[in-house]
Amino acid sequence: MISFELTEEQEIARSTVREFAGQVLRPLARQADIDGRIDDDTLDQLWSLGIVQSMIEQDGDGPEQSAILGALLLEELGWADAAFGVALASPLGFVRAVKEQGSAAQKEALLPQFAGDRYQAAAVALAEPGLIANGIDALSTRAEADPAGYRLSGAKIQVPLGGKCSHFLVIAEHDGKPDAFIVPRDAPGVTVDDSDRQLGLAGVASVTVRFDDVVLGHEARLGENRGCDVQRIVDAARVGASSILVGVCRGVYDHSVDYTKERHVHGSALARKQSVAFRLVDMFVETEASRWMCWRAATEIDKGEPATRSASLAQSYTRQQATWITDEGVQLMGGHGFMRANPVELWFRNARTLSMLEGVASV
Amino acid sequence: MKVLVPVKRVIDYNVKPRVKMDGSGVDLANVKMSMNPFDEIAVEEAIRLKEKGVATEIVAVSIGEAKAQETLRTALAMGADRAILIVSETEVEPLGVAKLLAKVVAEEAPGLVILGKQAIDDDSNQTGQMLAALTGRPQGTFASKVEVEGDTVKVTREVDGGLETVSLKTPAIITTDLRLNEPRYASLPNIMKAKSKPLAQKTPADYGVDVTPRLKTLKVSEPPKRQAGIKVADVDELAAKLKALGVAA
Repeated sequence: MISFELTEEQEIARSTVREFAGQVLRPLARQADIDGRIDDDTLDQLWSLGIVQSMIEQDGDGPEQSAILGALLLEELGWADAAFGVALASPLGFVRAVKEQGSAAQKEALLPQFAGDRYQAAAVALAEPGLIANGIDALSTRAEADPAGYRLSGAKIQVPLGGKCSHFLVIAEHDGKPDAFIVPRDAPGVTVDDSDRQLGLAGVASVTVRFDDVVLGHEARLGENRGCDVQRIVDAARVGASSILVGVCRGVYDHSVDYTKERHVHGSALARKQSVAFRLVDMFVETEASRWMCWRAATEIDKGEPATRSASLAQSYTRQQATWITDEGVQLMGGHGFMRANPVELWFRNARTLSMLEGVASV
Repeated sequence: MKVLVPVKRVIDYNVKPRVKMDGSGVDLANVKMSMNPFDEIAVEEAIRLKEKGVATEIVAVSIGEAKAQETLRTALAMGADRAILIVSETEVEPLGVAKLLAKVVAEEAPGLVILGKQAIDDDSNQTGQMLAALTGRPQGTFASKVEVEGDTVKVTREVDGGLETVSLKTPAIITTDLRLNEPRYASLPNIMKAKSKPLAQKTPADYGVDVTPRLKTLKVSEPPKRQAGIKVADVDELAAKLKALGVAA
């Protein structure tokens, strides 16, 4: 059975977050880009939507639809600005992994720290500085056995808000297989390097995190003796990041329609010119298609089915489309498109940056 | 004290309404619907009264199509305790709504009824006043401030000349103006919890109220398009134009 109908709760949640995105977040996006940070008040307000807390509160019995709900809401945040989407998706990815795959003791120790009213950063750290920074098959970060538990060494790049994170979920090779380790930021041997600057997503400056013989207890391994399904964490993160990009695309489309209807050139509105109208339609079609791919992958994740293929499809398609659509957004505004007085250049930089982050899991 | 908050499902305030081709009404197909913004303010005010310890229970009520359930769930997610949905698939006019609400008031005996001053779809601005007349309760309309002290409620009203403060004995009827408060956003955990709050379904027949429309809509049309303005070079030209139009001597 295929249904695109949302439940009442999903509808209300989406509508609430859409309102919040338009009224509160959108007007703050430019300043966050200029400042290179989202201020703490805004992060707290974002947190007060309760998206992360709701995931913590869910009991295991009910029909869990956290991936589809995440896709819906991250699209709305991405519409406001991708940086806000990432600021929420990042701790959400961490909490989801702990909630779904952590041991009872890990859940008890960690989840309450994310259940409060104040924003709490944490991130899944996957991407690595080497050339092979794709997926989880060739990790250079390693966890070796140690009398205390594990000894972790390596480096991770593109960790959003790394300087604010209380914990990282580090994807590392362990016993020849990918595995995940919960590492407090203040553990001895962990250093955060925030010296580099990126093209977009300035509000959630990504950092490089190094692990030099970080000694971890047995309780650091996600799922402890059971271990965890790292691919599931990666799949969910891909769908989350893609959903943010869908929101960016919708934002560009909305803006382009409004602008081209207003802007008159050679006696008629731009939107009346066939070449422009065709492009607007293509932008709309591709945004819809991207969204459906995200929803399909999210549905599979929620059902516990293998979702790697659909998540990868959603990711690769959405990235291509977001790069093209945001570029069109700049183009359709002509000489105004790349000026900072307009938001499209910001969306273009953000989309380009987010579509490069094969910190897959880091967002 | 129990507070009753009637809420209406209306076309979202961000939507640019379009008139149906046949002129019979506004086209609502595939249009985003939301809670009437003035009603959101009413819900928020009731919640604030509850947070202050003045209100003990908040009952949200809506009259409209079955989908108005979503609007009631939104009120529950914001903080209302329970809800009553009176389903009518045909449009109910303000007097019909006020009669139904009067029955609900008789049943629930709320200390305060807080309504939006008007719904943004038909802009009638009648229901609150009619309800006050039908129930014989005092009314404080267009409230920009509400203070409850014992069995009196002081309502600051936004009137043409400025602000007017009236003192009402409870039980009373209040209608909200735009500046009364800024409604909160429902948090996701509360949206999830709203699912399990009680929502009773009724029909106008259950209350013995005849809601047959008394008015007939003859025609709905778009407002005339605004004509483009003109630029004048200086004050003299402006004065001359105004004189020519007969709006200045």
